[in-house]
Amino acid sequence: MVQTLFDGLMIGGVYAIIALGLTLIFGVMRVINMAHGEFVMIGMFVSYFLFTSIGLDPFISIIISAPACFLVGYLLYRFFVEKAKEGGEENTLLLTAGASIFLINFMALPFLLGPNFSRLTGDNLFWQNNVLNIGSVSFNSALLMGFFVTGILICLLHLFLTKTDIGLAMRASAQEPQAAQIVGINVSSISGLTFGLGAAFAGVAGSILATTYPIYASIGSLYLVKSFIIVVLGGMGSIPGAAIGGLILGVTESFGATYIPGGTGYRDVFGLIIFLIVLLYRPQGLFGKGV
Amino acid sequence: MKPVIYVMIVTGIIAVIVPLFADLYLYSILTTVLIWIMLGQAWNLLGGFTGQISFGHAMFLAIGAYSSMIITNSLNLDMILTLLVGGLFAGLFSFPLGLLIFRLKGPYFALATLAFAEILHIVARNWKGLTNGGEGMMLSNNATFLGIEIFSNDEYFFVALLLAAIVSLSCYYLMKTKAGYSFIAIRENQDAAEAMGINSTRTKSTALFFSAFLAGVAGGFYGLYNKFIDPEMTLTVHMSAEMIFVTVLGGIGTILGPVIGSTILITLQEYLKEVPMFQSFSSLYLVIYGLFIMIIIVYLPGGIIDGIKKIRQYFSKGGDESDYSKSG
Amino acid sequence: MSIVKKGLILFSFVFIVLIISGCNSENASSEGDTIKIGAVLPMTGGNAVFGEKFEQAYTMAAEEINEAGGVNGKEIEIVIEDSEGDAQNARSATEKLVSDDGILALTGGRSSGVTLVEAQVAEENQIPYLIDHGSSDLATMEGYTYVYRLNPTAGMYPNALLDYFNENPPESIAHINVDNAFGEAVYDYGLQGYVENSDVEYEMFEYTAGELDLKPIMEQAKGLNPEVVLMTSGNDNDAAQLMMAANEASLSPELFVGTGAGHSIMGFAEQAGDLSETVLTAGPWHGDKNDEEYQAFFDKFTETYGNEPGEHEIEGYTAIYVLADAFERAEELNRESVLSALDSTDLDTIFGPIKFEDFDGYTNQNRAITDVSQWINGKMVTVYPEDQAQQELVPFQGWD
Repeated sequence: MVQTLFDGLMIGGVYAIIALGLTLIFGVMRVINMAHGEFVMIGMFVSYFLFTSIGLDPFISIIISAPACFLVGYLLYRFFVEKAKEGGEENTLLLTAGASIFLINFMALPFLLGPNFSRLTGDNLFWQNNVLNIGSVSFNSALLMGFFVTGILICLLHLFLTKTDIGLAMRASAQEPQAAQIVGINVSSISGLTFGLGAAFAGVAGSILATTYPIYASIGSLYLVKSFIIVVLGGMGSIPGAAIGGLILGVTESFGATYIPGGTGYRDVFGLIIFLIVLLYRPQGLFGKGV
Repeated sequence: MKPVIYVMIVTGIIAVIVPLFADLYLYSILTTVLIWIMLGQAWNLLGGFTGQISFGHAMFLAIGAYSSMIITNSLNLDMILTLLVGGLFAGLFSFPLGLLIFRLKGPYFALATLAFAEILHIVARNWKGLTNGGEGMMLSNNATFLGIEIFSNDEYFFVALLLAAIVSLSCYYLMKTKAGYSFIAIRENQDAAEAMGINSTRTKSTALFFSAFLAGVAGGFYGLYNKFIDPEMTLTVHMSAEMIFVTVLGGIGTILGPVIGSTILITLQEYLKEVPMFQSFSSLYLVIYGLFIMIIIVYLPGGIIDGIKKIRQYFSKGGDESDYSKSG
Repeated sequence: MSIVKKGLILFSFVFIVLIISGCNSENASSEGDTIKIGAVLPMTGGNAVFGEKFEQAYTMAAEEINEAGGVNGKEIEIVIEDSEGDAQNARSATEKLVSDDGILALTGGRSSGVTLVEAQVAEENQIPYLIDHGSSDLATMEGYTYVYRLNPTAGMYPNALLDYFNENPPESIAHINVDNAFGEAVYDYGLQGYVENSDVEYEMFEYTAGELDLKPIMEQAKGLNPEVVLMTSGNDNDAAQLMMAANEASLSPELFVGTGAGHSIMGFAEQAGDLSETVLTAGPWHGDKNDEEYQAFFDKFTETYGNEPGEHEIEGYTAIYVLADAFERAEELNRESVLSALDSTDLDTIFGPIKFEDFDGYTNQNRAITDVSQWINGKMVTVYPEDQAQQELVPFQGWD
């Protein structure tokens, strides 16, 4: 039982960091990013590429995958999302859906990921298939490290949002865009930066995931739905909400898959039902401000 | 000229010309185009005219498809009945769904429909007893239409042509009724519409019902045509998204939109398969497709129809004032 | 815009479409000197790696046959259509092939959905279809007269394994099964009979293809304390992921056995690395490594293409030979004659003897040979049945 709990927490940590990016984007810009999973995938790709070409450890490659995803996100925002926003929220939804198709298939081109599955394999990777046993509980070492990386990043994000000018500008734009504009904040650039930052977080998650999971162009869709569930559960725009929501989802799925008979096939349904219930009856989620 | 007459003429011409040079393969492309026209029209009722973007319409398609397969296999009813029943099931299913989620606005509604469709997807994969799970269902009896056995591609084509014409006309006339106008009112400004006395929930439910019904009918035909269905060809996000994109590309909120969008997208896809560059990079087509969608949404939200209108306006500068109908 | 103008635009669209499409479908008439074989393969999409395997196998077989004089002097040509791994495209892809009168028979398909659709279209249009890999049992259970299969069905995959179990009955089996058509067929048509008629304690745990977090399912399986852990996955990715999860959960049975597919391709060993060592897999036979002819095929393929051939390649290669044999015996070079010739096939190939029979609810099905192989040092070695075995079966090595 304890094992199930910790398994859930480990996977929940990964979910959390992906959802963090999404909730950031949503909180500041009210944009629902259907292409968020693709940022994760791009992060995975960058780590994979660096690992296979120069042997760079995925955890270290975060230094590169995060900015790479930031750039992609920023460009996507400036050239497409910003203009689509004028058409309304559904418009951006459709736009990011189109962006999703574009990114998935672009990355599936032969000179990038290609159509097949790839995996980081090799010797001498201390986290490779390394099972850490603490007491009677087994941990996947890579995910455990990822869990700590996530924790650190959340703290850094918190500091960023509360202590730096840009961070404060982001929060201001999220809370009162018009007032922020009046005070002299360039809401448009801030939005672009936020989108990029959200994408960067997804990229970090990708690098962590690349240690353990297969990499292919359409893997993003697996994470996208879960991210939505977490963002809604935790409260759209809430950082602690995304973190805790991620853990809750991970643990729920873990318990559901382990203890409910026949639960393994229906595993994803649990999350979806939670999602609908929260959306309908408590749309602000656990910590959010309301829809 | 009354639209019915006009559609009959066009349909008639197509029905006569196509068999002159069509082969098996061409019939199948055209039938696919027609199926997507129907699906696009169905989605458009709710999404284009009523402004409620659904990302889970595949579930109605699937309900129609599975119903028609099961009914044809076990009761061997005529296609007309089967499709109607399939559509009806989809429509009935939409009632509680709508009541449950219509309180959600815009993108949240879309996400909720997505969640529902995904739940149905997982259920379909696991509920062996009803859907035969992942293995899928094969059609064991030949479908009949008004007593005529429909088996080969050309026979399916003619039925599809008829159905697509009926579906498109139905949507056209529906939008000319009071209900239709209330759909548009809701789309334009739900609060103002309510202030004018329109019951938004009832209106949206009506739109959803017809939209689901038509998707169910089209889905039923889709199943009978392929003679095989499984969860992966009926309940994926890809199917839902395709319904949206053929409409958006052609022109959201117009009757011609799904027709044009579907025609172009499907035939383009087949045509490009012949071009060597696309053969080596299979996903290249989709890269361009995705990019195209993005560009249309940002720069030409009214779709191709809007594009044509703009071109005509450009050439008849200062002329045609009568062309200021809002297409959404 | 007035109705008439709208109508004209609509009509022109439709007309342009028809013209484009019309130009598209080139109806190649049968050229006098070649006999064509059509195949629907996943050349693009997630399963493209398999499409490539079959293309290579077909090409090699066709070249060999043509160099040896062809079929009664005529050359064999393979025409491939891309299914993109999608059952929806399968129909139009198959129809495109069927429209070409020069194509006398079909093969290919690979995945269950595509194979089923290809079978239907073949039956509708009366063209012989020789399934070479598609394992969906339904394809040869519908009583189709035009559909033949030389490979084992999913239900047949565990045949050799079940023989082994009859000789060495396990006490408990945990079956980690994928919830798609393949997984269902493996159980419904294969394992179910054995499970219901023996004393073995059997429990199935289902997962969805592509699922990343497989640890809970391993924990559940652990609860059974199984002697044998059976695993079914359609692709090597899932197969590898399963072993990784089993490692994490320290699930330690006597034997890990995969039921072919994902567990019997090189990708599994590549992805799982050390974790694949001593994993068994039960599925289509890979050929007799002691047989000269097989060895020649093996060496030539490896040299030509750079990868070692596995079950897919041998099936594809054999399919072309079977069809060529049918063409040779056919009274005339048309689809009906080819069908009769195919029906009376009795050929020895490197995939075993090929003969199509009706049994156990199947029609036109070859009693394909299955075996149990074991992954040793990243290669598959046959360990059962004894007359095929290259080595003895060893138990699972453990997690250290």
